[in-house]
Amino acid sequence: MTAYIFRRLLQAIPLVFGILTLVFVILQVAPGDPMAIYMHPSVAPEVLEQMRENYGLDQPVHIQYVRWLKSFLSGDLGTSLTQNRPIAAILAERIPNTLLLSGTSLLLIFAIGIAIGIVQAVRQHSKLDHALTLGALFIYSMPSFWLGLMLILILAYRVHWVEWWPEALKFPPSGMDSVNYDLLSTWGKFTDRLDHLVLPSIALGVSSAASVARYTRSSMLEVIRQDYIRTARAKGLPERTVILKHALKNALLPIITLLGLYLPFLFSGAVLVEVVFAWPGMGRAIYDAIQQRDYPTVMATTFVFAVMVVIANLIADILYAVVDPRIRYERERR
Amino acid sequence: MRTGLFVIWGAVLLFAGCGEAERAEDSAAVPDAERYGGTAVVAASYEVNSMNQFASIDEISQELQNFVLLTTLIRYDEDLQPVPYLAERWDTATTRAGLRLTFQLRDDVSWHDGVPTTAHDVKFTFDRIKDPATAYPRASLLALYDSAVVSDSFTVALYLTRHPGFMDAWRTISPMPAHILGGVPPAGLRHHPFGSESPVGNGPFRFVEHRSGDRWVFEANPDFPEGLGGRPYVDRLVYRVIQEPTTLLGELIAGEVDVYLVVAPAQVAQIEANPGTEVVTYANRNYAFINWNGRRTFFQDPQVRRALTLAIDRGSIVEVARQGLGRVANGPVPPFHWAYHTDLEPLPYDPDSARALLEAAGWVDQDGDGVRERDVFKASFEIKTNPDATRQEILTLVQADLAKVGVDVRPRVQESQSLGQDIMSPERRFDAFLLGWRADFNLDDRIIFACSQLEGAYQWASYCNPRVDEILDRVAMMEDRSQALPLWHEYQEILRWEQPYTFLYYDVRANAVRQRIQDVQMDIRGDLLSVKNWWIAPADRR
Repeated sequence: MTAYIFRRLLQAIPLVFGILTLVFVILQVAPGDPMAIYMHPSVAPEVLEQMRENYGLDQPVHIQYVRWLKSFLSGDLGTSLTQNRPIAAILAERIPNTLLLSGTSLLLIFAIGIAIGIVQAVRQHSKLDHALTLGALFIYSMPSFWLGLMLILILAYRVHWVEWWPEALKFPPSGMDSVNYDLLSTWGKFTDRLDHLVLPSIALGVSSAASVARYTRSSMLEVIRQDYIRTARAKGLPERTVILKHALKNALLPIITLLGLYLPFLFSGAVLVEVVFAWPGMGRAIYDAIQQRDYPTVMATTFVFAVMVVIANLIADILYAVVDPRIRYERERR
Repeated sequence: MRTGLFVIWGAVLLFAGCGEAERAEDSAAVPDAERYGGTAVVAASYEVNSMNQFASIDEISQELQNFVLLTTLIRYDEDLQPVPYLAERWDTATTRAGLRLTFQLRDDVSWHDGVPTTAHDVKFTFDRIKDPATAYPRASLLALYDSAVVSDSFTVALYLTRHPGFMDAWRTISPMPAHILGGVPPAGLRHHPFGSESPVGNGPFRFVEHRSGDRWVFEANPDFPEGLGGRPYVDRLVYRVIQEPTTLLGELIAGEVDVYLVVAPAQVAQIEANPGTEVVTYANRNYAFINWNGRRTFFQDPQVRRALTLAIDRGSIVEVARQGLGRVANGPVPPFHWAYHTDLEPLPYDPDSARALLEAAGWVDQDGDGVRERDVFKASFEIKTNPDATRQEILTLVQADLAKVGVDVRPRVQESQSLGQDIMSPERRFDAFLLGWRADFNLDDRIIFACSQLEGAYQWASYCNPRVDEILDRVAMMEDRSQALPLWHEYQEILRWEQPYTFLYYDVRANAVRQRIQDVQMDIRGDLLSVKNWWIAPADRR
């Protein structure tokens, strides 16, 4: 297994470099000028030229690429053109925030998705099944940023005018924590953070949860029809044990592969959801950097996203082997 | 489990909600000693660029620098006249080459690390601004300044060419700490960690924390001199970045945000209807305009440009797109400026005159397709703008208005940085565009309208009138306002007649404030002008 992981990681290196070079080229070809934020009659054109020179933007593209590559390989991610600070420092602040949000969403996706899928499979063709199918399709077709805005509009805004609405169901519309977070107790900090996670993680995860529910349903239905389930029932095992212990374990196998598919989806979804919820994560960093043509920051954030996706896929493959003993990544020794 | 969590959330929220009862108490009822304390949260949709004066130009960075973290040498009073701040007095003397301006600094202001603020800091800042390698964005502020000489720790003399409004620079430039940044090479100042990781100021608030993309936190500086108002009332000041206007409104209504800067016009009514929040408006320095590219045939004739302005119902634009937050503009000198021509009415909305003017200029619809032509040219062009909801709405209104007089407009919303590149390119890759400016207190329009600038980066209208050049050159050096005023008026009259831009409206800024924040004063000098006097009654604190 270790050799397999090592081989996969080695294979990822040219992939990540390919991505980065492509992004660099696209950025240079795309119209836009990072110095355009300084466009104002009081800013003399000579000053703009000097700024370009100070940032090295006056050099030909290939020189810029070589320079960037050189500092990148030596571990220096460069300085943000708009925030004027080391990108490494920005990433150190942002990465944990994105991982927290996508991690929570992931948990939500699988917990809710699998639970609903099981209920639907067990009660196939019932009214509940149809209602849940309809609901899942409805939610699945909603874009996350729009859903985010609707959640804010309803659960963080309109509810303030509804007198009977319970306080517990009013959520903060943005940010990771309250202004007085530093002054709260440890428990207070925990609940405050949780409170702030509710809306963004729902917005980010709910459509994937709907599709996990669909997959679980069909996978469960397939398993339930198998002979060994009939045997289990014939032995007189309670239905609960049959479903949750015997059927679910096998039904989950294809679901695990979904993990690898959803992680990149979560990271890209985070870009829009973080903007809507003012969540200070990587998604917003990359969004702002692209908007302002902050080239070095775009490169660094792309790099981090690429690495995250590669690792996520690897984790999914490993999990697959862990869950299904039939799968071996090592070459068989004879 | 989920129910349990909701109960906990509920408890937390209820607990947090205790201080939220809005109680706009009578200011007089709370004695001064009880006004100290609490946290004020300011939020807006834009990121703060830097606390470093050498690097930033954006409005919110300048506000935080000059009113919160640092101190300027002078401030403006309500009549926009200079009053002492870090400089307790100044005097001027005529020299052979021009003028010597001597500032006497207060001796009781210290940097937040304890080092006194001295004349050496002023000279250091001056020298770096003048050094082209620094690439200080607003270096033009000191274009006519020559040198700075320190005569003692708290006295600095500046040598300059006489010009009107020479004090204006010192309202917006805050001295930077020489003992921290003195050793940094000018080209490296911009990236110095001072800007966003470890700013050290000498103003009423000290830097506490910056979380990128999230917030800046400042705390009251207990050592701020009594002579400048002493320690601010609030303990902490937080600036939050929330990009999405709907989210920002939600935070304001929920009570998490106290001051929401630059409210979207469509949200004003909701904020006013909500108990506990109010909207503060004032005429600010921004104006919106459509720039006509004078290199295109259609826009070369002043008659045509005048017709375009007459055909656009600017009053409706202010009412519909800006919800009344604005005033129809008549030129590049906004009403706050002392030289504003009060008797000059903006061109009216008059489509009939517009049609007559276009016909007189030879633009007639010959083929009956509803769009005018002259020779082989069609009265059809593109107006670009950046993705801003209000501006997009304005473009739609302009398109409809101009269609009524036989002019075909194709609105195009283009992402800001690439629009900026098109506008700034020497080839001028645009027919027309809609944008806004912030006018300086010290107005000098030569860079946008002078013939000498025709190939310059900002002469987008390609407008040239020798009389305008003469006027602008003369008023730029004329210190006596009574002498300059007739010239300024003539300038505005010429521009009203020739319309190099269609000046749309002078902006009215709307900010939302929760009533628990007392003594908020916002005007053309700044949104955070009175931040050190803001206070929150003990019962209203978080």
